[in-house]
Amino acid sequence: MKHVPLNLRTRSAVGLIVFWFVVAGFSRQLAPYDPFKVSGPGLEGPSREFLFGTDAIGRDLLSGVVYGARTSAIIVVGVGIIVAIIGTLLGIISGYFGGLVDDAIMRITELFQVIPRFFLIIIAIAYFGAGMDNLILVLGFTSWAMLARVVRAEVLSLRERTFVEAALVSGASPWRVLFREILPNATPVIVVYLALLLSQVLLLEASLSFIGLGDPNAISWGYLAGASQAYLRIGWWLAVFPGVAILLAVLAINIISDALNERIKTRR
Amino acid sequence: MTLNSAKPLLSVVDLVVDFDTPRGVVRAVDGVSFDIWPGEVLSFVGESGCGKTVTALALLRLLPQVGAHVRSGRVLFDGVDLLGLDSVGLRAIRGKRISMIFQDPTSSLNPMKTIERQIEEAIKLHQPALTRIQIRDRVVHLMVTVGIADARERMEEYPHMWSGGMRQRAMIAIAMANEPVLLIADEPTTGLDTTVQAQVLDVLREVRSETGSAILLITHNLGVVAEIADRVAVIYAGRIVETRGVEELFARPLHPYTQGLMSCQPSFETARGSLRAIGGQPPQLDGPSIGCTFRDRCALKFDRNDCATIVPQLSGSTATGGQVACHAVGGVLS
Repeated sequence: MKHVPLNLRTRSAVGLIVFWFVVAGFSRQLAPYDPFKVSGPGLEGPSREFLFGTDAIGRDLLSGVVYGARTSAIIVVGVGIIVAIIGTLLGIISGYFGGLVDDAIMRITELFQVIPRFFLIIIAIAYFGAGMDNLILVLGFTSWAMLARVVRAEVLSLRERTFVEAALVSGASPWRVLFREILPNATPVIVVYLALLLSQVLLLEASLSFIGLGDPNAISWGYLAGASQAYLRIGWWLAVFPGVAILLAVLAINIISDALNERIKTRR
Repeated sequence: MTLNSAKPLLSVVDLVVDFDTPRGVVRAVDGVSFDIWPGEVLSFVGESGCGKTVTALALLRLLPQVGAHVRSGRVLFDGVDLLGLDSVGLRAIRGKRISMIFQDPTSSLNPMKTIERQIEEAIKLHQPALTRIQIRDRVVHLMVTVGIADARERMEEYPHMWSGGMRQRAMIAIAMANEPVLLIADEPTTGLDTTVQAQVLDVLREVRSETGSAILLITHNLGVVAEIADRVAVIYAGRIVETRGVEELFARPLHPYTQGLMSCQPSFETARGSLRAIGGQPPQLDGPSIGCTFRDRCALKFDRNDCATIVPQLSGSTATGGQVACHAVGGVLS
């Protein structure tokens, strides 16, 4: 396929994501200070020594944001994988085979949809304990329902297309048709929905950390933003820098999903 | 080829297909019987909804699993009963010995895969032992056979980059990937413009002379029939009403429906304004058929009690084995 050059918007978004993941991968080496240790005077505004300023007890905020990049990246990728697998699998099976299988899967999906997700997460974390692994599992297992529905709807329409019939005519088995003919055509929908969801997950994690249900041993952007609330009037930098990090990450994910969708759509 | 040409390649006997609809059961195919001989081109002709496509789909067991029922009939393909075959046996025949091309080449290619991969997969499904180089050579050879110029460059493109005629060529290449003995072509030229239609027919003819496969051609275009078919089965309301050699049929259509079809076809010999539509509508098929289904539209006005009471059966035999199902003209033949 001939590659269309990416536009500036998409290139900046890709650049941001790459930057985010590089920072996440080398956070220990990149952080100027240990974000858990007191490194300077408390509540000092951005300066040459502390680029993002310090928090109430003098911990370096830049180091916090750098460590937060790692936490957020792990959560987004982990939840993304869980949701992609569960949602896609249930969605295509439900849509393609129909009948009782479809009914059963859809009722379970609805069960997950009607329970208010945020409260379900709060209860699950309160029960299983806060921690990064629990957070990823809980977010993953409560977020797949919409993806399953979206994929099912897409498969319902795709399975009626002639190329599916053509594949059957050429002797392909139903599973082959499902994974080699239908799934590739459902990927635009999956990618777009996943990207939307991941930015939600980022925000959800931020909200959970904000109310103190994040991993107590890991610094995340949400935790930093949450911790800033007591000092909003005297230390603007405490809320702004973690907030901007969240904003840029969400924005970049959304732009890339748009671009992916645009690119795949032209083939139809 | 190990086929015995004293026996038909495909033999369909008394095929009946019903569909469940909100208004009751509709009998889409009502006792269709026909044979296809090795290497011949048999054409199904008839108007939309008469059961041409349903018959073809039933042969390959591609009818929807919910709502469609094959009530009775036997489909013998080279000695194997296709209707009784399990899914593994069926997959071994589909695409290998019988393949099919569809009306709309745009939707019958997977938009997410390159043309090369789609042809390649068709080959790999049935010839898994071939090496990558052998498969590639085969792909190029197929593309050249169906008349795709600069195959090596263009095979890496996606379907949306190709024109309709090119896509239909690609579909034919996929269908011919394993040199099937029977190719079912469901309105392969509908929706293509006239010059491209002619090219696609040329490709079909080419492919047939190279591989010797038989073709079941489904169409409502009599021009296409005249161009390529050896034998014609005219279908009306789920039944074959006339089956004849192509030259014989065009020279002297017997069934009043066939005659009607012919006079709907413009030509230079007919005077302007003499194009006649067949009056009335095809019958609703949701009740048991009593008598001839064509009698309300019949131009012969053959006023016999039989037409209203007895379903006419294919009978008689012209010199070349043609048959017709009509109370009025059937007797003339025998």
